[in-house]
Amino acid sequence: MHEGAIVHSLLEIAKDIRIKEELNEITEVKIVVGKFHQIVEEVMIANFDFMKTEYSGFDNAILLMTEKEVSVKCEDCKHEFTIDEPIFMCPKCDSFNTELISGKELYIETIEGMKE
Amino acid sequence: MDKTEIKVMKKILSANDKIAGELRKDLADMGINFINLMSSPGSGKTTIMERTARELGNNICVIEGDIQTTLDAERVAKAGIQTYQINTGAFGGDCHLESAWIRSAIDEMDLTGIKTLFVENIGNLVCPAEFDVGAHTNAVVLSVTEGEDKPLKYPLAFQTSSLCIISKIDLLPYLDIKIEEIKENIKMVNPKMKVIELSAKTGEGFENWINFLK
Repeated sequence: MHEGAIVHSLLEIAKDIRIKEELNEITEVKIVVGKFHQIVEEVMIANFDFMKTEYSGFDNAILLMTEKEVSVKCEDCKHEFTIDEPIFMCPKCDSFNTELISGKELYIETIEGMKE
Repeated sequence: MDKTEIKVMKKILSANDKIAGELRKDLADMGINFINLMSSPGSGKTTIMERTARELGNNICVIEGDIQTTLDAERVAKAGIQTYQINTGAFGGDCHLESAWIRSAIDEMDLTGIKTLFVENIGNLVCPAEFDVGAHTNAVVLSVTEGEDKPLKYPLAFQTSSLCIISKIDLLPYLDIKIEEIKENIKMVNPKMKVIELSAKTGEGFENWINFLK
């Protein structure tokens, strides 16, 4: 249930932004999650809907989550490819000399709110 | 009222990552190597700590993370080293440790003369991998009884770690498991991962772990 801790952190950031930007209310929080994280969208949304009640100005807020593919680069032949399974082998030259280049993202992209 | 969109582009765990980064630097400045051990429950982390304490003496200390009980800390303390128990029950029964809790723990510990600080993270291979605790080395402990497929099933833990300790190798004669298949699967997920095979019970292979720590 690490999703609870992650949602808590994102609500804390969103709360600070609401105050700084003088928003009356937050309507949407858009996050980007790399597929390498073991984060379940439904669990994130359920936690968000439950925990947002502790924060003022979040009654109508929704959480939108976009997933990002896991991309890998082969250090030998420089081929870049995406993987669906955690197998870091280059499909072109069979090398294991590879590096993860994306798929571990976990950030807030935008926050939408109402302002007078 | 007008609708407005604000571009944020901020890491969700930035508060945790900031403390983790500070911890990593502070401990390095003090000459202390910080190793975070992650595994499923019952992989043998505490037995490895007990034997490590017997072999390396009191220049190591251990922070034990558990949801409940002080049983692991009591076991390791019997080996004569300083231990600190974090029970996450007080934090809502969390399934992982975060950097702020490690910071609070070390603020209460006496780190004089300490060369290596270990954290035994909460026993599961999912949640602890998501949170940087500020360690210099993240390590996974995988016992041979858990099956060959675990690196493929819990890739983040293996991807965020640079060392895998394959434990309980004294049990291999009684199991159908092939240690080469475990290592093959580790290579699939993290080709650069270092692997140490050992038994904390018989001491077989333990010198490789001790040499790694020295």
